[in-house]
Amino acid sequence: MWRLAIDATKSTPGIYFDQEKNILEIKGESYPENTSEFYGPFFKWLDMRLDELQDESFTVDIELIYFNSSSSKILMNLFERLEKYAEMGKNIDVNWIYDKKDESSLEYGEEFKEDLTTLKFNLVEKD
Amino acid sequence: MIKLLDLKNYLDGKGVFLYFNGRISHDLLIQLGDTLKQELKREEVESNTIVKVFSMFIEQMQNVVRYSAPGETNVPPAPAHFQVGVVSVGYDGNYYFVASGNRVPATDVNRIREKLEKIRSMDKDQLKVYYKEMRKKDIPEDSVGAGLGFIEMARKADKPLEFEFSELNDRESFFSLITLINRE
Repeated sequence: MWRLAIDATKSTPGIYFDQEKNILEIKGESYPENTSEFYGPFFKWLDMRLDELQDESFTVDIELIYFNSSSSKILMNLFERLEKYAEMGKNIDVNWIYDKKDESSLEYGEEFKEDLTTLKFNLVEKD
Repeated sequence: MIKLLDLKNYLDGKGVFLYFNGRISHDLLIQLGDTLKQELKREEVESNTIVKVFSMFIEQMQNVVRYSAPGETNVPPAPAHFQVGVVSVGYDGNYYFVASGNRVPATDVNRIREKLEKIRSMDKDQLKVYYKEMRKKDIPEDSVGAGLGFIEMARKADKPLEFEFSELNDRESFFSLITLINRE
């Protein structure tokens, strides 16, 4: 019912949802030609999914090698949406997966975390 | 007849190792970006530096694609995602440079200049605050970008952004932007 599978391209990330575990995965690179056009349908799906969320946990794993400045804004928008539901008491976790060889990937995660209060935003080192 | 050797010698003399002049599409941007990454990897450049150079390149190419003026011909303008520009990447002493240029409508010149002057006047901490503030602002639904590109570049660059406007005619100017990144 909540199937979501968008395969990655060179400039857009893969976005997959595991319905059994309630894990949303965003992985790859993000510098789409038109950012709102690419992420628009995903956000529609997400809003519907979050509206249906009961007590079950909902996890978002994000592992981005590179994202451009307009994707950064989209990510902030994503986290703000998730935070809104976290404030309503929903059990939401975001795992920001970074590569320790790339200093900036941890810094980006930290900067998002600084701007969030209620949402559980975990910085996770990639094995 | 065009002297390509003169052009090549000029570019080599300026340290340029990647150059493109013409219509830029999203697919071309992806291909050139890949070429750039491979070139830097081959020279065993540190991965953090590669990410910085690549990032400047993508931001600048996308600016050209998104914001160029359609040109002054009477034929219908090209689709917005297929615009004319110049881009070059090279060495300049202790720095890598990423430079781009494109036509902009004369009516946009002051707005872009003010934005860049404001960014140039900020230190890294102020840029971080400004970046976060702009990132939280709502943008129109139909907007193709987020308007964060210049701030992102200024934060990553090791020198303030350099820019120039050259008037082409009463309707358009040529906008050039150069960003510098330390070579380890």
